[in-house]
Amino acid sequence: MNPLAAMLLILSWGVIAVTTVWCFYRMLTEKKK
Amino acid sequence: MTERERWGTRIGLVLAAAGNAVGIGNLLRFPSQAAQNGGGAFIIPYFLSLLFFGLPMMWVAWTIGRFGGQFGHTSTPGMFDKLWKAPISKYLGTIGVALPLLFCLYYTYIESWCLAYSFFSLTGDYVSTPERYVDLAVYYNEFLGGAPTHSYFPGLNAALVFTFVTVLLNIWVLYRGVAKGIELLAKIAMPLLILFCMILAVRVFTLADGGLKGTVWDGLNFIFTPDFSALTNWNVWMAAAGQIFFTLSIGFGSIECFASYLRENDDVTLAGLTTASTNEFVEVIFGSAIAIPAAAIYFGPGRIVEIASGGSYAIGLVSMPEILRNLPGLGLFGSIWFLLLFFAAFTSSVAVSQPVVAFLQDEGKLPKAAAAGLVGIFWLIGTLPVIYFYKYGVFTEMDFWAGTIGLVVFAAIEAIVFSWIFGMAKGWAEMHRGAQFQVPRLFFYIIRYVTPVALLAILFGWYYNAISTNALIPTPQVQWGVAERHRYHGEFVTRAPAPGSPEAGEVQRIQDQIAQAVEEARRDVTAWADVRLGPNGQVSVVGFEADPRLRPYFSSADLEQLLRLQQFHFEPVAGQPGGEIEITIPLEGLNREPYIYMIRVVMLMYLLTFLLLTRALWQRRRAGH
Repeated sequence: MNPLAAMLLILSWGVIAVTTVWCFYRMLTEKKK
Repeated sequence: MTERERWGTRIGLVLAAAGNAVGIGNLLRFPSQAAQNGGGAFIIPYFLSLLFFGLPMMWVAWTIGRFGGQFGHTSTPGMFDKLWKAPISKYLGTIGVALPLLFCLYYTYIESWCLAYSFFSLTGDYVSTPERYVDLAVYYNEFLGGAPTHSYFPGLNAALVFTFVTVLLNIWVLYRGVAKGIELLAKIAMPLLILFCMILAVRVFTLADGGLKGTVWDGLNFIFTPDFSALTNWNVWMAAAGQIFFTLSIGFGSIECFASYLRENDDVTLAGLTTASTNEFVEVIFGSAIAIPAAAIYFGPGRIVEIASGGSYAIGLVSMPEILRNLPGLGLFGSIWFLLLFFAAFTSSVAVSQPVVAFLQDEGKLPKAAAAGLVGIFWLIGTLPVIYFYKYGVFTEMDFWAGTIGLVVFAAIEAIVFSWIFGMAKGWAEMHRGAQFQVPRLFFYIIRYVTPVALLAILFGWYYNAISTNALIPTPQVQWGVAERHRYHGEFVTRAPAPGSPEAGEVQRIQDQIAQAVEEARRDVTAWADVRLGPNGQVSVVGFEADPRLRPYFSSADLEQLLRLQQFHFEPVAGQPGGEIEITIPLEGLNREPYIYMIRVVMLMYLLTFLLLTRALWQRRRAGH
């Protein structure tokens, strides 16, 4: 696989996966203000 | 005043918002758009669009929705009226009611394809047998009504039945309401969709070593290799921005509608970010891990662009059935997969049409059943031209105006009204009331300056490009196929000559002649030819009949030349005898002009209807009724 493509893939998948997990964690654990 | 509808639970809202955003756009439109716009070239403007328009507009939409909901407004005409005390504001907001309905008219058609393919998977209709070979590209095109042949479908009856069922299901959920309809549907459909996405992605990734034409990595390479030169192409930017709006359901008025059922101090920032990131999770990860790698594996990486050019959704609806019919358990996995794809689309179309029902219900004071019924009538009538005139490009025209341009126009208006007229400082404070997540301050300036300016720049660039290339003038289209396709066990292959070569010029000249015949006749013209194909690529036309209006422009020698220049030949499947075969080729020159102008008028009529309705409702309100 093209190294630039691999980097873009890992970066985009990583950022999106981490953000999604963080969002659901916050949404399900934090109490409403 | 009766108690307004509210969301049942917080998780229900999140799933409904995610269900709204996650739809066909994620799994079918994204990979197709990426493939059609140069693969990796598409990814950069796509992510920049997400950052500069997608996320900011997501937060703006949630904020406007909750703000309008405090005054009992569940659709954008009333919301805009509260944001901006000018008579024109409610009319600008009306675009946010007309546009989603227009979108639904053609989106339902795609949705119904998924329902139909689920049924066809169950019955094994697209599995080849010794008596009936199924060419999936032809099968797909015939089902939609886009082919000049009728090898698998005699007409449009199947498409009509599945579309009507789809529209009726949508109306039924809308009638049931927000908590008992939309929320319940999302709670069932979303977890199942994610689960089946994972199963299919794992299946595709474990298919790499089977002596097939490509690998998973070829597909991923195709999507993620960046081509920086595409950054100067406005069309790629338009496609990327359009995809972001389409996939996030921004510029439809549906997020605003959903948020209007929140309470005054409910969070909108985290909800907006969760909706966007869940959508991107399904789109960028599953969207790139299933359809394009599957196409690369089965058809070879070199054919991805060619397959995608068959239509925006061809990759998903040609390559997916191809994988499925080659796996054991087609009836079970195939029908469940397409049924879940259908549910993804279903949750989106229900959400997108909710503002229209809400507008009639809350502004028009119609009972819920009457509002849903009225939308159903508009919907059914408006879907008919999409089905009947599919081959003239009516579907693509609607996707262009309602699904791409319209969204960007409405979002630009929304961004300007929110940040410049309502006021960014006020808007920022409104956005953060009850917020569970502090939006980085940088987005204050992005929403205020970058988003509106960039949206206007994209629209201007598109306008300049369209005018300079005459892209808005409909031109005749030439298409041909192989009659009785199911009798031939193998592939009919065409190879387009290299662009700029003398052969490509000659192909263009022949096609231009047919187009000239169409323009002079001002109607469709057809030709039929019997063609003999030799085992070593020989082509000879042995019988030829053509419309009298076509004959002066197109002869049997032209057809023979057209086929030879495109290296048209037959490759039998392994185990089948080769040798000479004789086929019949129907050819059509389609006069697209009247149909394209007709659908443009229909779209304007829909918009005008809602503008007049808004005027009447506000006049009635002013009169104190």
